[in-house]
Order: sequence, then C-alpha cells, then structure tokens
Amino acid sequence: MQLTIQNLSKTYANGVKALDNVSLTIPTGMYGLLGQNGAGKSTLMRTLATLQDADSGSAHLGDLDVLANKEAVRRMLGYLPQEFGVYPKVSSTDLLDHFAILKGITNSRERSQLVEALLHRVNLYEHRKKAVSSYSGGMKQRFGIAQALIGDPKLIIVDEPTAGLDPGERNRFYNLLSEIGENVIVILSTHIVQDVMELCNNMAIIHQGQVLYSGSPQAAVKGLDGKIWAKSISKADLPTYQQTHTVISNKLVAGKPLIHVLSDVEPGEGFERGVPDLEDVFFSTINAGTHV
Amino acid sequence: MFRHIFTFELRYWLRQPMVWVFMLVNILMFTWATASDDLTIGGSFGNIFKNAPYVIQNQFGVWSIFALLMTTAFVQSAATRDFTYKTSQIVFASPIRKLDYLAGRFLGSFVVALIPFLGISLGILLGQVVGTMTGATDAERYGPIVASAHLNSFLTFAIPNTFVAGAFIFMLAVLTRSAITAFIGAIVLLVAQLIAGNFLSDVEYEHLAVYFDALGFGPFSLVTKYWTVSDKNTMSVGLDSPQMLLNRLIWMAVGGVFLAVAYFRFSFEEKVQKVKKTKRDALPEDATGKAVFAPLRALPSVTQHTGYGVQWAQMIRVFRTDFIGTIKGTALIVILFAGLLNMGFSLQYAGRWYGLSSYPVTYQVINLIHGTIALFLFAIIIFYSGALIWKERDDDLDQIYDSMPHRNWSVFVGKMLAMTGIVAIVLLLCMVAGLMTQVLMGYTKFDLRQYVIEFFVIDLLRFLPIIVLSMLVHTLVNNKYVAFFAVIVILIANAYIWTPLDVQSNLVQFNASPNHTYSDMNGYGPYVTTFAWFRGYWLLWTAMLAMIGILFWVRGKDTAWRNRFHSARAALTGPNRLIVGGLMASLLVVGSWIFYNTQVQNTYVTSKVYEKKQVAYEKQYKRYQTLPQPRITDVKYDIAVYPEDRNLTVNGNLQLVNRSSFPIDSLFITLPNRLEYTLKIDRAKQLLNDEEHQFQIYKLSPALAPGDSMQMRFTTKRISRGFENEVQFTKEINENGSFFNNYDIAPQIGYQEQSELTDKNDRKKYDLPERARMPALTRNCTDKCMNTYLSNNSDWVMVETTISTSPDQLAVAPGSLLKEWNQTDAEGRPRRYFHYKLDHTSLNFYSFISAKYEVNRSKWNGIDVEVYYDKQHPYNVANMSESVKKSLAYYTENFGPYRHKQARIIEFPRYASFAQAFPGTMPYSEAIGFIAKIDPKEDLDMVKYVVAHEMGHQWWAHQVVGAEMQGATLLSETLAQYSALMVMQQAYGRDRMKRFLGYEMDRYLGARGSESQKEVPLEKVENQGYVHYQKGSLVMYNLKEMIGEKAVNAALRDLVQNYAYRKPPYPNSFALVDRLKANTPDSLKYLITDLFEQMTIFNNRATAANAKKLKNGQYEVTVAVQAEKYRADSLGRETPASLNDWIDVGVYGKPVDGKKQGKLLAIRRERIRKKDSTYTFTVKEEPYEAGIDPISFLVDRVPGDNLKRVGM
Repeated sequence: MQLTIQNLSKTYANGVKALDNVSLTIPTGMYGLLGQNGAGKSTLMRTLATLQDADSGSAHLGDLDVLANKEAVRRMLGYLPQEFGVYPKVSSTDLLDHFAILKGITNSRERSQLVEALLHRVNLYEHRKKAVSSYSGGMKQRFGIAQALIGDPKLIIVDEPTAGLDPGERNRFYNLLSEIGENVIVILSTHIVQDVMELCNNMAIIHQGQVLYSGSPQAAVKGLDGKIWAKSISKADLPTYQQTHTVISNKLVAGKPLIHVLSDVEPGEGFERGVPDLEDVFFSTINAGTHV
Repeated sequence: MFRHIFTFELRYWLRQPMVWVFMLVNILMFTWATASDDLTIGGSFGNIFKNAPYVIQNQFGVWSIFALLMTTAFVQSAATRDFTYKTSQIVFASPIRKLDYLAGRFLGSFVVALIPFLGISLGILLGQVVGTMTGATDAERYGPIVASAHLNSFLTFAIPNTFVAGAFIFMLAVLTRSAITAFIGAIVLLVAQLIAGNFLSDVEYEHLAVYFDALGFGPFSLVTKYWTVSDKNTMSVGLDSPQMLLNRLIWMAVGGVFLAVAYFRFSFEEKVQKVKKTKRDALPEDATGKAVFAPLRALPSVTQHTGYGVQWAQMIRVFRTDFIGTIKGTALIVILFAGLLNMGFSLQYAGRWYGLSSYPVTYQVINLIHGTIALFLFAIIIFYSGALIWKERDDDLDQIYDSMPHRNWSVFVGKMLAMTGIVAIVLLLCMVAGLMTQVLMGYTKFDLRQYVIEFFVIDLLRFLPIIVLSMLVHTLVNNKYVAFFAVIVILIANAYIWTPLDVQSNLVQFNASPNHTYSDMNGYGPYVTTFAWFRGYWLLWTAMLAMIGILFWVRGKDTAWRNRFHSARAALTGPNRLIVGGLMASLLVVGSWIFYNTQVQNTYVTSKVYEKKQVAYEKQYKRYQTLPQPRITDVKYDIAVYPEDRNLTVNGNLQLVNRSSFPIDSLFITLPNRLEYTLKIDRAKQLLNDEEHQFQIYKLSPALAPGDSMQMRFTTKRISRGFENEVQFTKEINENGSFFNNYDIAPQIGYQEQSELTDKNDRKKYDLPERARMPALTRNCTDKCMNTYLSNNSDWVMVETTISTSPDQLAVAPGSLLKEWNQTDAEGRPRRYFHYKLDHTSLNFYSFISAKYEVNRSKWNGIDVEVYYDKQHPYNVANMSESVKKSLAYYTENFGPYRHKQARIIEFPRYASFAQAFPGTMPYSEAIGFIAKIDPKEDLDMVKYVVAHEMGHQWWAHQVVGAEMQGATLLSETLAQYSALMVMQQAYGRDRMKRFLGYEMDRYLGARGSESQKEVPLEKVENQGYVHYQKGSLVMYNLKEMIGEKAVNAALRDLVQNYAYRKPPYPNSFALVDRLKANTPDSLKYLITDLFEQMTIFNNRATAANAKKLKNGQYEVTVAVQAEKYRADSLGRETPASLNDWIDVGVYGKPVDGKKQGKLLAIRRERIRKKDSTYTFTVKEEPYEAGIDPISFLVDRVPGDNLKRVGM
C-alpha cells in the first residue's frame, strides 16, 4: 500500500498558500517531511489526518480516497499532533482505554490487553495509574505514540514529535518509532535534518508549500558529492561572500562563521572540501527554491 | 510609582470595550425601565414616581448585586493579568514597591468598576425624557430630578459595595493567582448575601441586618420599611442615617482587612510549583544515550468494530468520561456546595407565616428547593454545557480526538447525557436534602413518587431543551465567550419578550409548558395531559436542535462557514436525512394537534386582548348601569359535577322581582367565565347577544311591573374538550376538590362594574375616565345604599340545590342536607345525589364543593359542626372544630343568634390559597391551616385564628353587610378580625396578643408604603387589605383596651339587632362608628376621631429605664418615655397633632428560657400631654424591660423602640 498525493493545494483565508500543488508518493516505512517552521508540513499532515480539507487535489491511501472517506481513513490512522494536551487528572490507562473505544475496539478484554501491551511498549507501565497531565515531556510524547498505535493503524502521522525533548528522550522516542512495522506508512515531519537521516528511507523537502525534493536521503546527499565547500570567515566578510558565492548555510563555530558554499569547482582560496550531509541538501534545496 | 500604575490601569481599561459595554447595558436597561412599564427593576407603581429617590436608590441596590460580576471581571483581571499573560517575571523583577503595585492595580480597577454605575443615573435621566417624549409614560408619573438620590445611591451602594466585593475578589485573585477562584469567590459572596437576606427577613431578626448585610440592603430596607408613598417620593437614605453609616463603615473596614491580607500575604516571588515532581524516567540507558528496551512484545491483535453498536458504546463512553470528569471538578463542587448551603438555610425556615411553621409537606419542600436552587442550576447548565463542548479544545486534545473514527452524534449525545447527568446529580442532592429536611422536622410521610416525578421527570424534561440549546449555540457560534453571552441573551429574551408581544402560546415560547400546581388532594390532576403534549412537542424540537448540532459539529480545523455548510450537507444523507425528515413530520403532526386542541377546541384570551375587552365592555354597556333591574329572590340549582371528566352542568332557576318603582322593560345579562350558557327567560325577547363581550339584552313584554316577579331559567355547561394551552377553571372543577361559587356559574343581572379596568394608568391609556375605587362615604344612606358591596342584583335569597357527583365523592351546597341517595344518571353512570336547602335567607353568595372527604362531625347547642378534610391532613381538624365552637359561643353570647343549623369547614385543593366564608360554609385551602404546625405554648395559633375570622363573617357580612360605599369592609373584615382577636384572647390570654399585634403592625406599616392610590381612614376603607385587616385589628384592639370589651360588644350587638338580614338600604360604616362613639365615654371620644375618622400615627419610644432593689425585696423601676402624635394624609405626609392621650406604660419581667416575651409585671394607663415624661413603678419580680405602649396596639412608626432594657 502506498499513499499517493496529487496536486494538493490549500490557501488560508489570510492569503497564505500553505500547500501549493503538492504531489508525493509515500511508500510504507518511515517517511520524513523536512521543512522550516511554516513550510506547510503541519497543513499537509492535518489534511492527511482528516482534520482539514484541501482546496483542490487528491490523496489516496491505497484505493481509499482520503479526502472523501474520512471515517474509513480514521479507522486506519494513528495521529500524533505537534502539540497536544490531555484531560486533567486522567491516568494513562484510562485515557488509552477511552481512545481504544473511540477507535472501535469494543471488546473489553481485547482492549485491556492492548492497553497493557501499549503501556509496556512505550515503557509507561509503571506510571500507568498516574495522570498523564503530570507526565514529563518525553513521557507525554511516548504516551502520544501509544495512542497513535491503537487499532493497528496503516498510516501513522507524527508531527514534530521531538521538539523540546532532551537528546536521551529523543533517542528513546526514535527507537519506538523505528519499531513500528515495515508494512505501515509512517510520516514524520520535522525541521531537524538529523532525524530524517537516521530514521527515514524516503523523504521530501517542503518549502513555502511546495515540494522541492523527494527521494531517499542518501541519494540526495550523494548528489552534492564534491560540491560542498567550507570556510571559516570573519563576520564582516559574510555579506561579501553571500554576494559572490552560493552560500547555503552559515553557522558559528568557535565564534566565527563557518560558511558552506555550493560549487562544482573550488570557489576560492581558503575553502576546504566539505563532506555533504542532509543539512547541506536541505539548505541548498530551499535556497534554490527561494531563488526560483 | 503608584500614580503610574494607577493611571496605567485606568488607561488600560478605558481603552478596553468591556467598561463601555457594561455602561451601555446599564444605560439601556435603565432607560427602558424608566421610560416604560415593560421592564421593572426595583419597582415603582401607583403614586410612587418612576424616578422617585427611593426607587432610584433601590435600583442601585438591586443592581449592585448584578454589578458584582462586573466588578469581579475588572478586579480579578487587574490582579491576575501578569500571571495570565505570563509577564509576572518581567514585572516583578522591576523595582516596584509591593504597596504601589497592589494599590495601583486595585484602586485603578475599583475606580473603573464604578464607571458602569454612572450608566444607571444616565439611564434614569434619559428614560424620563424618552418616556415623556414617546408618551409611553405620563409626565405626571415623574417627579422632580433629585440629585441627592443619585449621590446617596453612589455613597451607600455603588461605592461601598464595589469596594467590599472588589477587595474580597482582589484578595482571592492576588493570593491564588487564579481567575476561577475569583469568580467562585463572587458566587460565594452572592450566596452569603442570599443567606443573610433569608435569615434577616423575619421581623424578629431584621435589626441584625444593620451589622450582617454585606451589601447594605438590610439597613436600607430597615430604614425605609415603613416609608410612606410621600417619603418614597422625596427621600433617599444617605450616610446620615446611623444604621446605614454603621453598616457601611463596618463593611468598608472588612474590605480594608481583605486588602491588608492581600498586601501582607502577597509576594513578588514566583509561587513555588506545588506540583509534585514526577519521578524521572528511571530507565537504564546505555552509553550512547539510547534506552535499552526490554525485548519487544508484539501488540495483541485486536478487532476494530463498526456499526451502531460501536457508536452506542462510544456515546456511552463519552458520557461517562465527561460526566465523571465534570463532577470531580472543584468548581462544580464549590458551586453546588454554595447552592446547597443556600437551600439549607431556606429549608430551615420552611413554611413560615406569622412566625409559625407548617408541616413540611412534600410539595412545599419541593417549592422551596426549586426557589433556591433554580439560579444555581441555570448557572451550572449554562456554564457546563458550554464547558463540555469546549472540553477537548480547552485541553488541547481536539486533534487526536477528532481524528478518531467515532461519529459526531456519539460525542454530541454523550455530552448531552453527561450534562443531563450532572443536572440529575444536583436534583438527586436536592431530593436528599428535601427528605432530610422532612426527617429533621419529624415529618415521615415520605412521598418519593412526587419527588421523583417533580425532579426526575418534570425538571429534567424542562432542562434538557435548555441544555441542548446551549450546546447548539456553542457549536454554531464557535466562540466560547460570545456563545455564553448569546445563550444568556437568548434565554432572557425568550423569558421576557413574549409578554410585551402578547404571545401566550406555549407552542411559540421556547421550551414553554403550561403551569402546573401539585395538590395533595388532587395530585397532578388536570395538568397531566396538556403538560405531556407540550413536553413531547419541545422534546421533538430538542431532538431537532440536537440534529442541527450534530450536523454542524466542529471537527478538525476547518471552521469557516463554507466548510461547515459543506460538511453538514454532506452528512445530511441516509439515516440522518431520515431522522431530520421524521422529526419535521412529527413536529408538524404534534404541533398541529396541539394547535387544534389549544386554539380551536379550546381558546384563551391573552392579557392585552382581555384588557381591550374590558375597555369595550365598559365603553359600550356602562350606560345601562343605572337602569333599574329586577332582583334575585329565590334560586334553585340542579348541578351535576363530573370530576373524572372535569365536566359540569348547572340548571338554574332564578326568581326575579321588580323592587323598583318603575316598570322594567329591558333585562341586561352579563355572562361570566366563558362557559356555554342557554337562557330561557319569561316574557323576554333577545335584542342583543354580544358573544365577544358576553353581554345580552332582552326586551320584556309586557314590562315587569313594580312588585311583579318572573322566572329566568338557565343552563350552564362546562365540557372538557381535548387539552388547553394553560389549564383553566382548575379550582372550580377538577378530579378531587371542585370548588365553585354562584358567581362562577350563574348569569349576572345587569352591568357588572367589577369587570372594568381598574389601574389608573391603564384607564388613561384607553381614554377611560378616572374612576373612584368606591363611592364616597355619605350620611345620606337611602338611595346610595341600595346595594351591598358584594352584589348589585340581589338581597337576601333562599337557595335550594340538588347536586350530584361521583359515588366516591361528597358534594356540599349551602344549607342543610335534606336527602342523599344513589342512582344512575341518564347515561347509566352511577351517581351520588345530595339535596340541600338553606334554613335562613342569605346573601346570594355561596359555594359548591365536591371531593373525597373524611368528615369530623360534632355538635354545639344543636348546631352541626363539621370539618371536611382530606385524609392526608388530619393535623388541625380538632383545633378547627374547637375554634368553630369557641367562636359560636363567643359570638352568640356577644353579637346575636346564629341562623344556620350547621357550620362547615371544607378543605379544597391549593389551586387557590385562602379561606372564605359563605353562609354556614367555610372553604379553606389545603395550603394553609390544614398543614400548619402549631406549638400551642409559643406559636400564634393561626389555624384557630383564621377559623374564628371566617366564623366572624357569619355575623359580619352574612348578617350585617355594608353598602357599596367606602367603609363597607369595615363592617365585615375589620369586625371579623376583632371577633377572631376576642376568641384568641379568650383562648390564650392577653399577654399572647402582643406578638400577634406586632405582626399586624409590621404588615400595616409596610403595606401602606406600597399603596397604589391613596390611604384612607378606617371608616372610609376601600377594600384595602392592609387597612381593613391589619389596621383594623390594631384599631379595634386599641378601642377594646380603652373602652372595654363590654362597651365594644354592646355596640356590635346593637348593630346586629338593627341590621342583621335587613332589606336595603344597607348600613355603612357610620352605623358602626356612631354606635361605638355612643359607647365611648366623653373623655375618650378623641379615640373615635383618631382611630376611625383620621389616620393617626404615633412616634413613641422609651429613652431610659432603670431599677433599684428595695429593702423589702421589691424593685422600683423608673422609665423615661417620649410620645409624639401625627396625622397622616393619603400619601403618608405627616403633620404633628396635639397630644392629650391615655397611653399605657409598663414593665415586663425576664422571659423564661426559650420564650420570647416575659410576664407583664405592671401596666398603668397615663394621660400624656407632653413629649417627654418619666414614670415609676414598684414591682415584685426582677424587671427586664420597661417602656411605653408595652402591648403595642398604637400605630407607631417605629414599634421596636417602645421598650428598653432595664438597667440596675
């Protein structure tokens, strides 16, 4: 099964074009959606999660029309929104049980086994009687993935799940995600390039509502082989370099800007050949996208 | 720095719309209230100007209760703003002094909270202009603009109340940093005020109001309690009133304490998070920072079900989660606790009347519960039905929730059930509270059925549509705060808009149902059918609203109307379309059926239409009023009562005689009550039949010569068909306890003046001439005294009745029962027949009653004394019977013989709550007397008293009856009061009369300030209850004290001898006053003037009382008293009168434990000529109180200060 998105567009009432003719084909396995804040990732994910309608275009999960058969999609869906809260003073067991009912698991024995297994899976079993609202950020996110796993979903949408988590929690969370079966489509949106590299077989880069790249991260990185040049410069020189070179990124290293420049040949004196990574792909793509 | 924060606060609020919106609301409300009579806030009527100082101040007072919520909004926001907007760390880190910060914030918001009050003054001023310009209100109903009224209102209500409430809320908000706590605080304050109000409303506690009423209403009511119309038109209570000043100072000080607490407990430091640190995930980690997971267990395979069963299960789960989530919330528990507290305080005073209790019968307890909990229930419904709709969004759970595969209806219905469940829980608590009250009061006839029906059927069915409406509004409006506002506006508009529009159909007003009254005798009786239909109708609407809510349910993030319409239309397929269609069809069918029943089969007259009919009747037919008409002399009835069907058939035969000296050629008939009449009149030809105004004219030929008589036969039918919009004629005919009199069923001869429009302002509106309430009292009592005040077409008549009813009921008609038998009627139904006949002629005013009765029978000197009662109410039957006998004994001895062979007291259902005297028969409502709980040692025995009063009417009204003229009711009501007082005095002694007279005094003084036209001296009373009952009691008791019981009774006996059953002319009040005067010694003749001919008010008080113990063990008591005497005019304006009166001075002993009044140790009658005087007594026992007019029978502006505690 795969998810096929064709020419999806959405313009908000304030004129912001959140999705601009987006077409993607998403196979099973982990799929990364990479984009800056406000790129349109969440709009796309909410649309796939049946929470929003598109102005035009279509999305099909296998043969299923996602935009028209919301209820059928919801039965196959696990959704972890970017931000979520919970009912106050309700334990994770009760809340998972509640969601399991809403997902149609009405056999109570099945349901309690499932809830227990989910709690073990996300390692919250010993905290199962505590109110979810008292959980730490990482625990809450794991609870979030537990609820998304209810009912054997075929499509799991995870929107910026690791924002605000410390590195340890982030690792734990990705371990969880990576355990999800190979036959399931998992869409992970993030603005952290590293996440995609570590987890995803396929990815897309979205910028200003448009898909700028789709394919495997490895292929994308490979495409930049030999084209990335790095140089440590002084802050004052930065504007000059930006005018004369295709500067795709700059960041401070030991207080001095380290610039990455995209160039087929050595761009000048003092530049060293850089090993391209996904970040370079990301920035070079969106830079190119913006200039277009 | 303070100035900066203060002015910042001011500027901040003045830029916000809130303060201006509140002010605008106030301007609109008060302009409306002042310009017209459609809206009333704080009340003005009759001769009280619409902008009278008293009215203005009252309005400020009333409004300061509502303003509490506005104040809360300002003050709490000022207090918690830095926490709400998370600017606290920035603000608190800056170098501000705590005092500057708090004072600036508080005073700023306090000043701003006062601004909306200006809207009241502006509204009142504007309303006067609008009212006069548009002609909605007559210019003469406005008095001059009194600036001091506005000033005083600000000083006594607006400023102090805003300060106290504001300080309390500010303290809560500052210390808890939570808006919810502040609002709950406001509610608690309101409840405390309600409780205080309840507690302080009894006369015996009201002086405490000076200290305990936080909002100053207590001292205001206390000071203005006995204000007359003229006082109300000219004065307001300022801070120069010591009570008001004391109260305001006390509560301003309390406010100051709140602020001090806020200051000392407040700290700029961040509140330490109390939340327990969650245990860090104790997960073992490996070197790379990745968690080592236990080997993964596969998730068990589960089945996802679909279909209705699942949707049902999901609905139940939503219900459970939302229900449990809400009832565990602190806010609900606090509100509920406050409501129950308030209810508890009221229940404690269940059924107080003249300071005595009644048995807490279930309907009364339920009434009380409804009265106190209603506000809280509405608050709970409005708040939580909204909160449930927003629950997921408020908790930020909506995205997960909305992407689950449940149906919208499961959520909507689940939430609706949750809200219903919450209401049911509240009602369950109410029921428990009611049962507990009954247990605590020792009443064990638990009527669980009535509780369950009232709370869990009627109430739930009434609240459900409101719940769904509120949920729908929140769904459609999709903005929480706007929706709350919209719900309240809709509910208020729905409650108030229909009366001005003159729409009374329960099909139109949202969620309307016919009024119903539960009666112990008759259960829900006649109301069930129509109530059920209207409930069914509104439940269908509720289902419809719910469907709309489900279709437009907000799911996901697309909330633009285009998308919502789109998805609603998409959802309107299959079963949904079927349901909507089915609902529409059912509504059409049920609505048509109700319409057919309530508008075609049965009709009703709306109040404006009724008014117009009254006007037309007067304008067209009043000209016939003075033409001579024949008088009724002899009446025969054949009445059939069908209780089960609520049907009634009356065949009557009236003998009419021409008692005038002219031949009568036209007969005018007025038909009461919109029943079906057929008339057969000798020698008469119908000339006019005005069905609309129920007036007929017949031509008599030959004309009825003076002295000649003729027959008039009539048939009256009342047949129940289908059901009505409001159930009418319930008192008259019902399943158990039908009670009607001849005015309800018989055609009236002649134009009937009592059908005219009476209100002065209404008459003006319709261009009708001003009308005196009653013809003026005159000495010339021949041609002007030809009618009694009860009838213009009969004198003393004989009545004979055959009445039939169901075999299990007893029917009672006037006179002795001659025969009783059972037989089947024409349709073969078994019936029970009774044949009654009067033993003596009587007024043409008598009742017919039919119900299932127990009868208590006894005899007094050959007279049958009978009490007909329902078997559930045996409590006071013996007392009633006893009272009848005591009355017979006293009255026959002192007034004259009793002419009937029986005296009956008959219980009737509480569709009316009065007792009334007919010849030999006294119907008495089940709501009073029968359920009264008398402690004969302490209580005023109102059961005995009311019976004695009605028995008094057997002489006063039914033997001696006043002419239709001022003073008529002096001869009936006042003398019945006096008679009853004498019976009571005989039974309980003179000491016990003080408390009774105290209540009479209180009610008289209170009621005269609400007089709508003019107060008159007792001899000119115009059927004003507070004059002929309350003042009458005081006056007659006073006279009896001064000239003696014997002298009074001699006058009354003479009155009976001269006027009992006498043909016209009828006596007027001079007949009594002259006789009393003749029996008064010359030295006391001034009393006749003071008591009957003038309105006299005293201002008596004790100023000092001291005692010392004498060597012989006795006590010498010295008491200084003041006395002043005034004459009052019709509006209560007083002018001093010269004092030369005999007034009592006396000394009371200490009350024994548990009693309220000690023994009267000494009393002496002194001639008092000057304001101040001092008297000395020697008493044997220890004195406790001493003073002037100790029994309190002089009408005294301030009765409470007559006695002073004796100092030793």
